[in-house]
Amino acid sequence: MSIDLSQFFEVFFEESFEGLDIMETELLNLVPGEEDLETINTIFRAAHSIKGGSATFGFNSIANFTHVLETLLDQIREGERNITSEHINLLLKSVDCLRALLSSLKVQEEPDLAQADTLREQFEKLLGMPAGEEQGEETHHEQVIVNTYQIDFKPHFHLFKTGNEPLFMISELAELGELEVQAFTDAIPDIKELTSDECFLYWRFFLNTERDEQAIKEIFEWVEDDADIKVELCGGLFNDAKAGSEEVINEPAVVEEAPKTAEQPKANKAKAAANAPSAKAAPESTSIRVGIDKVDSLINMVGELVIG
Amino acid sequence: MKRILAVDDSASMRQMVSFTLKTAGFDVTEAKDGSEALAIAKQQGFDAVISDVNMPIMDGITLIRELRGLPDYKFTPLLMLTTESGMDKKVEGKAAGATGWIVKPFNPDQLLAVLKKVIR
Repeated sequence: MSIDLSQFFEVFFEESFEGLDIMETELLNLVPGEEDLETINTIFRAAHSIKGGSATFGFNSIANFTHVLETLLDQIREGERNITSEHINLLLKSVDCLRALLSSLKVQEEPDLAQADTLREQFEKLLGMPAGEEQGEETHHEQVIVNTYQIDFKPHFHLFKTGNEPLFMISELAELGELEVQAFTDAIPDIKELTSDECFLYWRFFLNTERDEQAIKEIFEWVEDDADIKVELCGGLFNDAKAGSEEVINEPAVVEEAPKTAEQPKANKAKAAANAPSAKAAPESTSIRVGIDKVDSLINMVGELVIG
Repeated sequence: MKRILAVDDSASMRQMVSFTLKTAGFDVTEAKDGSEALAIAKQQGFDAVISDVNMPIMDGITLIRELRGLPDYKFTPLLMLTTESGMDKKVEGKAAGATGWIVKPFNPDQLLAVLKKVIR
């Protein structure tokens, strides 16, 4: 599904400016030693919303900066740290800084990050975080939980020449859990330029698995330098609450558009799609969603064709 | 058409979730905090609830606990939106009766990928 996130930017900016106003008002009213939890919570929530929204809508400079504010506020909220006037000053400066950053982004200007970087260093020093290091992603998976990972796998054209076979990797992925495969066909060139020993397909997988990210990365270990690989955790289910989750997606159904990030030359797109056997039904589309058994048989057929 | 209750105090996130779900063919009702969501959920039935955790008035964990206690929501998928680092929140959410979680930030495809594990 291709959804233009920019339609939500206006509301995001509006609520972020409101959030900053709230933070400022509450911070100005704070007296160290006399603060009440609800005030701290209100400030935390405003920062948390700005971080969440900016990360979702791709304003990473805002998200990274707000992350340190949020960490400090969370520690105060949890009673791990008492708020001091130094904290309040730093937070007030950050509110001004965020306002400036958001104002630039709103008019689509490149934000000046110098002040944000300086402030962030001060926060990191205060928090005892190694400078520039993000707080770690959680790595422990003691609980048996089913995670959903999004895996983008785009082999470089020469992949076959390294002796690697994407199909085997896809099969291995499928062994880790329940796999959904989207194959993108828009990089397939015109038939005259098509060479059988180069890999023009690329894939997006959604994998539901009890295994961790490392297990997924190991599958692609050999081809790290021969492909663009991105593994991202996007959610999960608690294992004893899987009701209704047993369905397996293996029917070709949804016709998908290519991801927006795919910057392929557009000239060959229509032809490429028409040439791809599985895209006959919708030649205007550049990607399809099919079960791995179908991909399997397709690759087998191509293999036989090449041998023949 | 399956009905989903989307709960978030952030208007932009709410709109994004709602728009994504509507585009995917779901019927969506929005609520801006746990308390509003609970009131709406008691009046109308839903096939799934997706809720943010940090919200004013009533947070997402409390909402999930309250909903799970209602006979109509005993088996309903209840998903929470949470940041990746929040393992504590996941444990807390599970104890409250959450079905699963969706990592923030997420894009529309990721939201649907997790959601369709519990609802079609």
